Parts: sequence; structure tokens; C-alpha cells
Amino acid sequence: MKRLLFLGILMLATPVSAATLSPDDTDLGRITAAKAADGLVIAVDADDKMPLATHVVARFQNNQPLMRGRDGLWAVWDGDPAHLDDVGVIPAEGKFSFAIFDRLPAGLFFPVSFTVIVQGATGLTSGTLVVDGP
Amino acid sequence: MRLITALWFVLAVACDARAQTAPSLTVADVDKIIGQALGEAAARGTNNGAIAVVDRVGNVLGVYAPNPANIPLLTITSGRGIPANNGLEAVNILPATYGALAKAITGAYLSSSGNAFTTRTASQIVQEHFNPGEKNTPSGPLFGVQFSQLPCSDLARFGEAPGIGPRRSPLGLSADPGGVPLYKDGQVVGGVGVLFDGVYGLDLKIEDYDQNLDELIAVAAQQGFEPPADIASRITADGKFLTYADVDKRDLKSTAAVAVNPANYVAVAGYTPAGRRAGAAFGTVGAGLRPEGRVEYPAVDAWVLDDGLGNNRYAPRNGLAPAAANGGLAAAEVRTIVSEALKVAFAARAQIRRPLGSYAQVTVSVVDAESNILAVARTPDAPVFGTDVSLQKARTAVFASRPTTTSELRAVPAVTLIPGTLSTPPLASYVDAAQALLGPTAFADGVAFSDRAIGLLARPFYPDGIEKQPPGPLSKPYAVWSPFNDGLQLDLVLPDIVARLDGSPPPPQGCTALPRSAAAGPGPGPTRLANGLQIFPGGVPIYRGSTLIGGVGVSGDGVDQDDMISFLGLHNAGLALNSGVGHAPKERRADTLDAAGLNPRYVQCPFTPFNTSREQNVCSGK
Repeated sequence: MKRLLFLGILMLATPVSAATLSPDDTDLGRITAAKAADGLVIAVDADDKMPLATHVVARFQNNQPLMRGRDGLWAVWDGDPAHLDDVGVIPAEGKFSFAIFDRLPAGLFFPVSFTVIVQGATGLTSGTLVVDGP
Repeated sequence: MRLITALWFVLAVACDARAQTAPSLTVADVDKIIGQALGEAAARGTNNGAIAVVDRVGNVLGVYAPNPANIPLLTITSGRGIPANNGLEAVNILPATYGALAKAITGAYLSSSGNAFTTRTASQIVQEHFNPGEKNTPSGPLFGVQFSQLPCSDLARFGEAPGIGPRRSPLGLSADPGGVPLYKDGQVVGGVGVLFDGVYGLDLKIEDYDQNLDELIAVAAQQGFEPPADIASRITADGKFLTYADVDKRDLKSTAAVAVNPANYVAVAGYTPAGRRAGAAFGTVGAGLRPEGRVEYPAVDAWVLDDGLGNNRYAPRNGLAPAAANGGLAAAEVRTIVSEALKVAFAARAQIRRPLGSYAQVTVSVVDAESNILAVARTPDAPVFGTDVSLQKARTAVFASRPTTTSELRAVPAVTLIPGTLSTPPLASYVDAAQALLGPTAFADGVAFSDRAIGLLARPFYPDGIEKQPPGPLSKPYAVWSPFNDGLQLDLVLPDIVARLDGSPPPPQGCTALPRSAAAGPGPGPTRLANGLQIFPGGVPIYRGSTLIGGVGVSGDGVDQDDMISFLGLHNAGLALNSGVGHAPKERRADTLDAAGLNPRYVQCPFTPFNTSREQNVCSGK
């Protein structure tokens, strides 16, 4: 089931799957919520990096960004990168695959920008995908 | 605090009982408004253009084109003969639907239960003199407001599906006659905008009475939805009446509405699908603006922005830059600043509202030193335009007061958008001009600029309004200046506006090519001016001791009232908090600068401004 989900999501993530994260935050593009209805994984090139930590942040058009925990839970983030949870993503087949959600949650406040972050030896690199409303 | 994923998305919708009774536009109303417009257009022998109807928070309820297959283009012009390649002047690539939308939004956003303003009112208050054409008088009080509600704003909502507001406008606010508010039971329920004459301009001569085609059609459309007579044409600023319209129903030729063709409600990419729909009731969760409930701000009857799910979009939070732990604003301090500013508003005698003696209605925004939004709140009937503008003002005060502004502006290169038609200069040109006037360290030395001080540098004459004087350093020269080509304000955002003329969504970091907030962490933190620069008064920077930690902006009433509410609100908060938060040290304020023998004014407060006291010089010495 998980594998099926992953394959399906990879298809959704095709526009961003070849992207590489950068210190200036790579623009991973925009998709509509309808295209993410069955889940969302953001896959980016690992660029032969082994991360010290990986993070996911969700931002809305408000002032309450959330961070993803390793256990899949979301929590309010205070904006300090030092306080981000490590979501424990490791490279596989040359990619980092960040599972964002399995199924589009109801009642989401769109647009949502999802920023995936890799902490490497030389600092943070990141990329942002925006999910627009249906 | 950790929330489980499910709870994150399962949010109670809090319906406000008061809001249930707020009037709103129905689909039948929209058809009636359009039909009345079509009747007047037909009586005047024209049948090609666009009519837009929006609700009070900017949801597009319908855009009607009598000839959908051949919607005419509009030409943007001030009428001063300024050629293309000067801002938006002479641009003629946009459909009339865009102009109609901007005009409808302007009518809705500028108005309230206490004042009815139109795009003709806007024309009167955004030009180089007030009144336009009166030589050597200062500029209009809302000089620069046309570049608000921008399509790249990080605050304004966007998209084709109706929902919460306030929504963006494709061209900002309009000064082209033909945009009027719509009322039910004395309350604003929306606006209607008309563009049939092919021109998106303004009125250079206000001493005459025009028979403007767009305005005639808009006034016809508005029949049955007019404002109370007391709040139109009877409002003054600086002792001058603010014009509502040059025509009224006695000028109309039509006698009946024309039946609408539902198929002629056209789609406008990024703003509305085809068809028409009912408006949101103002003051509800669904409209995105609703009573706060005295939970966050127990001392005042505040309203807040809602995310459509019952959550305050901008509840007070800690500053990120500097971090609260490092001397930045704490959430409790932000709450106090907003609350104190609203208290001043509730005590202040409104300038632009009837009846006389009403209190001022405004929106208050607070940001940190990197333009992260820390709080937004408002009084109940504040005009909607002030939501975006108050945030612009807070950010502008911070941006201009940062010591990095020179280098950040110098890093923005010239941009050619359409060769020979649309381009922007390198923004270093404005820095060079500012340093020629203010000295070599201008915008790099940490001088505290209020919005009033910045605005004085952004007028086409320096000093403001004095003919034949050179332009302010942030303005275009008068030979090519117009409200469509006003200088740094537009050049910062013109590429963003043009990039969204196809209706595409705003970038997540908002407007401008300026740096993003680093303190917001990896990802799209807001740019320094993520909803654009604003250049009329009503914002000041916030300091702790001598350290810049944020800005507060206020918008919605007269500019002196806005100025006072931001200035006194921060001052009073400082007294209440006793934590070092307050104004910039006096010796660092922009009014200590020698700018060609003049001191740019920092703040200007009204004389005897309160309904609740007879205090006179309320800002003096603070």
C-alpha cells in the first residue's frame, strides 16, 4: 500500500523530482490541491548528500507555520530553524522523498507552501512547493 | 504544543450571531445591477465593454461582457500625454474586464457605513495637488493608495473560487470614474465597476462636472443600492469636500433594466469563473473579517481576519527578527500595541465619517524588523482597503529605517518587461537621488523614517506641492510623473504586477525582488515589502531602546488620524509595557535630517482630536 502510494505520488511530483535543493530555497513550482488529493510526496535529488537532519515546514497565508515531526504529527513552529524536528528522511535511489500527507486533509487553508529542508555539513538547503486551493 | 494531524485540519467554524443579519448581495441583485447598467449603456448607444460586481471583501460576483467574443482593450493613461515606457502609462494590452474589476473593488474597499467613496473620490486624493489642479497645494491625502491590494500581495487572497477576503485587485485601486459602492440598509455590500469608454485614467480637472460614460453606467447600475445621502458628498478633508460623483440619477437616460444573458458572465483568469454568484455577508467567518470576541483583545471591540475556518489569521505572535528572546517583540507586546492603537481609534474623532463625532475606523498591523506579520486587527466598520494598506505602512516604516536599505535597493537591477513599453530602472537610481538630498549615508545609517517622512521624499515636487521644484528623490520627474508612474513605489512592484496579468497567483514570498526574511527560516519568508511600498502617512517604526524591532501601520481614516493612531498607539503601549518598547530616540528620527534646508516631518496629529477629551497637541513632545 505504501509503495503504491509512493509510486502514485512520484507521478504527481514529476515536475519537482529532478530539482535540487539550494541555500536560496529552490522554487519547486505549484500544484493544485486536486492534483494532490490522493497524497503528496516531494522527491528531490539527493545530490550525493548524506543529511545531518531533514525537515518539513508548512506555511499558510497566516502567521502560524507548522513543522512536521518524525512521527508524522504537525506542530506549531516558532520560526527558529534550531527548533525544527528531524523527520528522518534518508536518500534512496538518489532522491530524498519527503512524505507530506497521505490524503488531502479537509479544511485546509490554501494556499499552503511546503518547504523541504536538508541540513548538511555546509548548512541548510531547501525547496518550496506551493499547493493552491481546489 | 503538539497537535495531531487530524486535529490540525478539523477546525470548528465559529458563526457570529451578529453577522447572520449582515446584508449581502444575492444572485438576483447581481443580475439587477448588471441589467441596469446594460439599460443605460443601450440608451447611450454603446454595447461593448465590461461590468464587474464584487462583494465588500472583493469576491467577484460576476463580470459581464455584452460582447464576450470581442471584449475591448483598455488604455491606461493619466491624460498628461506621457508616452509608453513610463510605468503603466500608455499600456493598452489589457482587457476591459481588468479595469472594471479594479473599479468595482475600489468602490467597495474605500467605503463603509460612515463614508461612501468612489473611484472619482480616489482620483481627487491621489494626485500631485489636493485638489487636483490647485497649484502649490500639497499632494492628495491618499497619494500612492492606487498601488495597494496588489496581485502579488502576500496578505490579499486570490483565486477564482469565492471565499474569504480581502481579495487582490489586478491593477490595484482605481482612480478612473465609474467605480461605485453598493449598499443595502446603509451598509456596504459591494461595488460595481464599469469600463466601456476604453480608457483607464483619472480626472485631472475636478472643478467641472463630467458626463463620463463609465460613471453614468455605474450610477445606473447602482440604483436601488445607493449609499445614504448623508455619507456621500458631505465628507471633507483639509476643509475640502470629497467628490462622490459628477452625475446622479437625474443624468441617466435609461428607464428600465435590460435582461441579462447568463452566458455573458465571463471568466477572468485568476479572479472568477464564468457565471455569477451571491456575495459573502460581511462580518462572518465566510467573509474573512469578523468580530474577535474580546478574547485576544479584551479591552476593545476588535475585528480580525479569519481563515474561513474560524481561526484568526494574524493573532499576535512573537517577533522573529529580532527573536523575542533576543530583544524582539513578544506576543504580549504586540497585543498591547494593537490594543492601544485601537483604543486611540475608538477615542478619536473621525475625519472621513458621518455623522460628525463618529469614532475613527481603521486597521492596525504590526510587523517585525524583517516584515514578518505579527498581528492584524481592526475596528468593526473600517474600510477594507486599510487592511492591506496598514500592512504596507508598517513594512514601509521598517524598510526605510533599516540600515540595509541602500544595499538592498542597489541590488535590484533594471528590468525590461516589454521592450519599448514596460520597464523599470535600476533601483540604485533612487538611492543615488536620496543620498544627493539627504547625505551619503541615507538609508544606510539607521535613521528612523515614518511613512509620512518617506512619503515626502516620494512626491513629484520637493517640498510637497511646490510647483517647479525638483522631484523628491523617490519620485519620477514631474514631466513624466503620474499616478501610473510615480517612482520607487511602482518600480518595486511593476514586474510583479505584469507577471500576474495572466491571473497567475502571487509568489509565496509576496511582491518585490528585495531580500526575504532570513529569520523566517528556510522557505518563502516575506520580502521586505511583500505587499508593496506605501507612501502616505500612518506608520512608524518600533524600537526597543535604540534597536529597530518592528513597525506599526494604521489605515482607514484621515491621514492625520492614521498618523496619530499609529504614533500614540505605540507611545501608549510603551507606557503600559514599560519594557523599553516605543518610538525611535528623538535624535534618530527623520525630522532631524536636513534635507535641502527642510526637516521631513515625522508625524502630524490632528488638533483636539478626541471625542472623549479636549486635549489639544496630543503628540507633542512624545
